Amino acid sequence: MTNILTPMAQARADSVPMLVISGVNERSSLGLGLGHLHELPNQQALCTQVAVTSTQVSREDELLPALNQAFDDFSSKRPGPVHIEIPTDVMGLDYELVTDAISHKKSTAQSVIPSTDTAAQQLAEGNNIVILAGGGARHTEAVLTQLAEYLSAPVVQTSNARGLMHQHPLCVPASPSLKAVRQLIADADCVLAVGTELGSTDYDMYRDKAFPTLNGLIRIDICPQQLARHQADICLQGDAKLILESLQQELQALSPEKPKQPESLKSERGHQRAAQTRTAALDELSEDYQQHIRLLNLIRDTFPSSILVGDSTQLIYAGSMYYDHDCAGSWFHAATGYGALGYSIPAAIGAALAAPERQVICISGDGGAQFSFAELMTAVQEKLPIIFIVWNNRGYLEIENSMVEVDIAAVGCDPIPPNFEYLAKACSMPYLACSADVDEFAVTLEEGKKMIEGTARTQPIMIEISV
Amino acid sequence: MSTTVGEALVKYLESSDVEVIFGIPGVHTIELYRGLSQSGIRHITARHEQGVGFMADGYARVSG
Ligand SMILES: Cc1ncc(C[n+]2csc(CCOP(=O)(O)OP(=O)(O)O)c2C)c(N)n1
Ligand SMILES: [Mg+2]
Repeated sequence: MTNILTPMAQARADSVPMLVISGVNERSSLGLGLGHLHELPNQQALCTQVAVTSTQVSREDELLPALNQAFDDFSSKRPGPVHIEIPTDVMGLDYELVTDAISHKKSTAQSVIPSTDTAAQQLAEGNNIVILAGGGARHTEAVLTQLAEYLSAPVVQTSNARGLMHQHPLCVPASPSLKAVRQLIADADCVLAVGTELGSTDYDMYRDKAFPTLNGLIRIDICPQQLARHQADICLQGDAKLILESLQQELQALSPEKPKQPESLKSERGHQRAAQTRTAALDELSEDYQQHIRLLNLIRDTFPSSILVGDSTQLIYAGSMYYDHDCAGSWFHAATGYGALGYSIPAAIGAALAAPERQVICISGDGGAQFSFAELMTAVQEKLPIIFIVWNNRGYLEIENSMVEVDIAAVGCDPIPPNFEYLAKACSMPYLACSADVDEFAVTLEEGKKMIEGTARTQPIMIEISV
Repeated sequence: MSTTVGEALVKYLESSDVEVIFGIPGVHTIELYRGLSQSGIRHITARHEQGVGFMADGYARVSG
């Protein structure tokens, strides 16, 4: 059980639905400390700290309600890890499941939404609106785009929202930790925050606490506890897509007074605000980061509509500052949120199983890869055509840089990486190598593409970028 | 023929359209695996339970 707590914490931070079913020792032994296998003082209490809910099935007839509750919660609440533990002496008891008793409602529960007229009124009066989109907005692309266009509002995106409105003139795929993005937000007279927890790994990456006050804040979130965590003018609790649709309708009903200025002029100004922010945000980044972003763009353009899964490594840090992925829900990583190293290799495997027809590309650092490269064999065994990119700078470079920056002599940042070519070979996985030069990487990616196609998408490959 | 809690669990998951599960069996969970081979559910054996969890995470983000 303890081995899976880290992924559960990560899923909790990023609102990912996950059902964790575990065993636990037989009921009569619990809490006695008798030295049983896998014994913990109180396994369930431990899980309660991380799971959204943790339930023990201590009798056979408790299985059904526990499962019904879990599935209900997935569809109606902010998703997260749900834990069910079954004692070893309960697992084998006789129990007949009547399938008709499976009663979870499958996403019908969320249809009740609050009234949106006050919020619509406030938006209609705004002259300088900014939308903040988080992971909770990732299924709302059509209506989000409509609303943004209607309001001429730039859309600032956290990492989990990236991919929405790709290349749209109002899209700001840049971190709200950057000065330029913060300026855009500070200048707004009304901020509409959709499905975002306003967490510091997106909004205050450098922990300088200089995030501006959000004027006229309207928040949309499915979770009431989340809404209670920040001061807001208006809180709308419920499904983001339905609420945005309702807002859009209300606004259209109010439209006789709006627009105050000629439409074209106004939309031009929104586009300008977004474009200026994008340019200034990129300019703020170091030449290294800009180079890393060029590599990410190249991956995206070589493999359109792919799924990019990342670890906490330089390329991904750069991307979380600025990167415009080309489809929503398809860029996720461990550089923001809970941030557990070793995420990318197994998460990419999960992604490839969920979307066998799509290209999955995994980006790990040499340090992060060493946390979980045992899972490369799972990808081989399951015949998943993942491209595992290893960004090898021979150490925990981003951490080393942070130490040096604050005058700490770097210690512990130089784990020697394995020979990745041999590692690939040991896993019977084709291997390619290149430098971080954009042109060289482009050639290698094309070669990788051919390899994946050449094996009829039944085999993963590794590309090592030596930095 | 009567079934066990473990088999009922598998039946529940199958009836709820669960197609893939991730795990590493151990003596603490073997009874949960009874019934799995006859079901339509694909079991992915990770190499570490942390992998189990992160795979489920990646799967959920893409399928959900
Ligand atoms: C589980 C866990 N342990 C430690 C850390 C701290 N940490 C964050 S990034 C990093 C270095 C990662 O090295 P590498 O993957 O090689 O990436 P690089 O910065 O060199 O690109 C470390 C140790 C973490 N985020 N998670
Ligand atoms: Mg490194």
